[in-house]
Amino acid sequence: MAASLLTACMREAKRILSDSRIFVLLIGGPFLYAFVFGGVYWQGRSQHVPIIIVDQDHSALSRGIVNALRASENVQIAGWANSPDELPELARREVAYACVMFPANLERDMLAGRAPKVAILLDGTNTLLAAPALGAVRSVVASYQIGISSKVLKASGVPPGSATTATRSISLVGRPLFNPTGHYGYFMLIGLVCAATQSVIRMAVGVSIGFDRYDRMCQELKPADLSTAWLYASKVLGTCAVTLPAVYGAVASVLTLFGTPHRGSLLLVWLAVTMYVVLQVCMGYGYFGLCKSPLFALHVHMFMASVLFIVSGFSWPYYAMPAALQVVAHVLPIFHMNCIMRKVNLVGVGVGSVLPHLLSLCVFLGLAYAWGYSAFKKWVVSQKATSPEFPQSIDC
Amino acid sequence: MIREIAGVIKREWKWMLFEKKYLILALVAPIVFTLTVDLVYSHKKVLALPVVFVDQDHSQLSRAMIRAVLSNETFKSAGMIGSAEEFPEQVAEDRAHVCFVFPYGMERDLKARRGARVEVLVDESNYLAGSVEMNNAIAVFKPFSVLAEVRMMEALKGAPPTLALRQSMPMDVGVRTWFNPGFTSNYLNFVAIGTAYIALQLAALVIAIRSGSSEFGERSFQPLRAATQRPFVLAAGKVLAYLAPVLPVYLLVMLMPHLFFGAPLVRTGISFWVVLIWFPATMITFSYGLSAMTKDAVFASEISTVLTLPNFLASGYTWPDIAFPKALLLLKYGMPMATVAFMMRKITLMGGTLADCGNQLWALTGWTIVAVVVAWSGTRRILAHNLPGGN
Repeated sequence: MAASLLTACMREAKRILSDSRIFVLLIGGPFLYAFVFGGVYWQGRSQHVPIIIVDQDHSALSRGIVNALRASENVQIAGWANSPDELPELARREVAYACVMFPANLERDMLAGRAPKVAILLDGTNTLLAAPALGAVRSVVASYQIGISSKVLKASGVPPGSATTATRSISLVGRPLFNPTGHYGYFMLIGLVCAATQSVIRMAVGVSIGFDRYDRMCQELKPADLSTAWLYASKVLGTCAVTLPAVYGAVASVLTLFGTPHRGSLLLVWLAVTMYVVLQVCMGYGYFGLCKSPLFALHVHMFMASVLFIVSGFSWPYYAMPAALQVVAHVLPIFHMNCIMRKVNLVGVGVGSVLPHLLSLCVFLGLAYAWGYSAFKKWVVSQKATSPEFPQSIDC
Repeated sequence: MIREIAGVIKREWKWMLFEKKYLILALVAPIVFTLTVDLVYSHKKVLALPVVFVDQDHSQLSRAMIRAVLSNETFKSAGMIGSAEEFPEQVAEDRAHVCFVFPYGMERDLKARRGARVEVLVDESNYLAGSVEMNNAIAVFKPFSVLAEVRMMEALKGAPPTLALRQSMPMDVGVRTWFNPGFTSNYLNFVAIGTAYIALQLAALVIAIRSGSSEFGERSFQPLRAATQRPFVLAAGKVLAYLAPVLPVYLLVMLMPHLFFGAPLVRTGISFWVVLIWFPATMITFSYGLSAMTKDAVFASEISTVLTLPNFLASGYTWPDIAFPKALLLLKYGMPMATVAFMMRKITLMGGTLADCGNQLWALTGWTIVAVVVAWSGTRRILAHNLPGGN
């Protein structure tokens, strides 16, 4: 029995490795996405956002602020303009995404205690571009505010220590935990690899079963004596034997090559990855049963890939979605997988904190196995109907 | 020639209706996809984030600050905890994502003109939520800080309140946001076009992916007639046949975020229509050519998967291209969706025209040339196979 199962597993693994259509998807897919996204998010932060300056004041103060902005790594001065009206045109042409404007008499008004304004105009079409520019200008201006207030107080005869305290009476200290540098890659990469893995496994399984033939299987496994249930198990195991090393490799490259922190137990990560891969293989069979053709299954997965990732709440948090979609997110295996990966790797939690997600994955695994088996059984029946001559030894 | 092209179109439509599930998927999936994704972002901003408080001060000031935090719609109370050490556990169990710590003696220090510090611990493992949390925390505490400074100025200098207020804020930053005024919080406006084009691109590729490969035996019941054996007639007929059902879907999907979710649609002039038609025509031409070249719809679909799956996130649409490593900048223009999503953003959100789409125009033109070459080669293969004596 064990020998027959091993033979059947080997057959499945050989089929996958010898068919470029399946092999490239299963082995190349997880790596391709890990490396593409790892490369894209390598820098981790939006830096050197091009901005323009409109200096109508031409004072020492405005020049001082411009010099401070020049020293900021978040922005890069792309040039000077005569009027802020030039920004929309420049933004459309991707030359500059923000404009810092110093109005006429800025310094004079400030010395007269009239609280003038430095204006910043932003292209708001990309939050990730506009936020660093706004942050840079705000922090530079805040430093000047404190310096000016402090000087005013000192000039009024307030002792230097009290003057500094008075200008920063309540300070807000932000402590970003788990991803202190706000690295975008650390936040996104591991979830993207899980999403890509989900899609490519399901696609490859659909293609694999779609191009297999029952009569050929019977011929190749003639001496074996396996029921349909064992045949299905052998297919799942054979596919996992090829897929798991690729997915382990892709996850390992995210954690090592691309620097995503892993503060928790690696064993827990590998356990979750293993469960997730087996689950996806079974779901691949299930979806094939629904679609009944490898091509149609492939197309369905192409459409589902991105939407499942978005609904899983990995980027846009699930608690910011409408209530109905939060429920949908919880019944997606990728949601639980992403929660485990993020919590174990970034937050550094142990089994106890991710137990509900692990249990959910277990439940999904059981359901997916049953669903995949039912689809496989139907496939066997349909294959028998089209090729009535097959050895009885492998009859289910 | 028009009659011959019409003949090819009719033949393709019959083929499309022969196996309806592919047609239905290509036409319905983009609509369902866009509705679902827009629904995800329909709140437009992150609301009601659970926050916990560590109030070691138990003062009037700390209570006022807690009330101010909770009156901000971004936050909702998840209770009080004894120490900041408990916060990571709260995050792990999804009970809280922000923690405000009011240290012991805060109010007393402030009254004694020693300055005070409030700590905000933010779960940055989700960058998007973390940024919103931090921005809103700053917004909530700024008035307290300014008010405290005013009081100190009054006390230290004996300055009248209005003068103290001006001196506590000697210079201000006025922010004006173009194209998406609620940009710090309104995520829907920013992503709607890009996500819609994920599905639209797939629709154009998927609908025509069997049109070439099926000519190699699968459609023996629909032989090519002599009149349709001219490459231009065959290719043009096929592209037009698939473009016709796809175009209304493109229009509907582009309008959906605006009609149902209030996303802006600044301009729908000629530039809008040109891009709306040009992109699917290019993708359908490419898909048909790829299908004919590979003679295998599954293989052609796999190539399309490689081309389309990383599109949205690696296209520079969300993660800006200025943050790409230079070696990967080509990737942005090597993905067809990136060009069109940027063009549509410039036209519908920024009120631009084709004249503002310099780089994207070149990239889409490049893709059009590639598509035409692939389609032409594919058509010649089909004709060689179907002509008497072809293999």
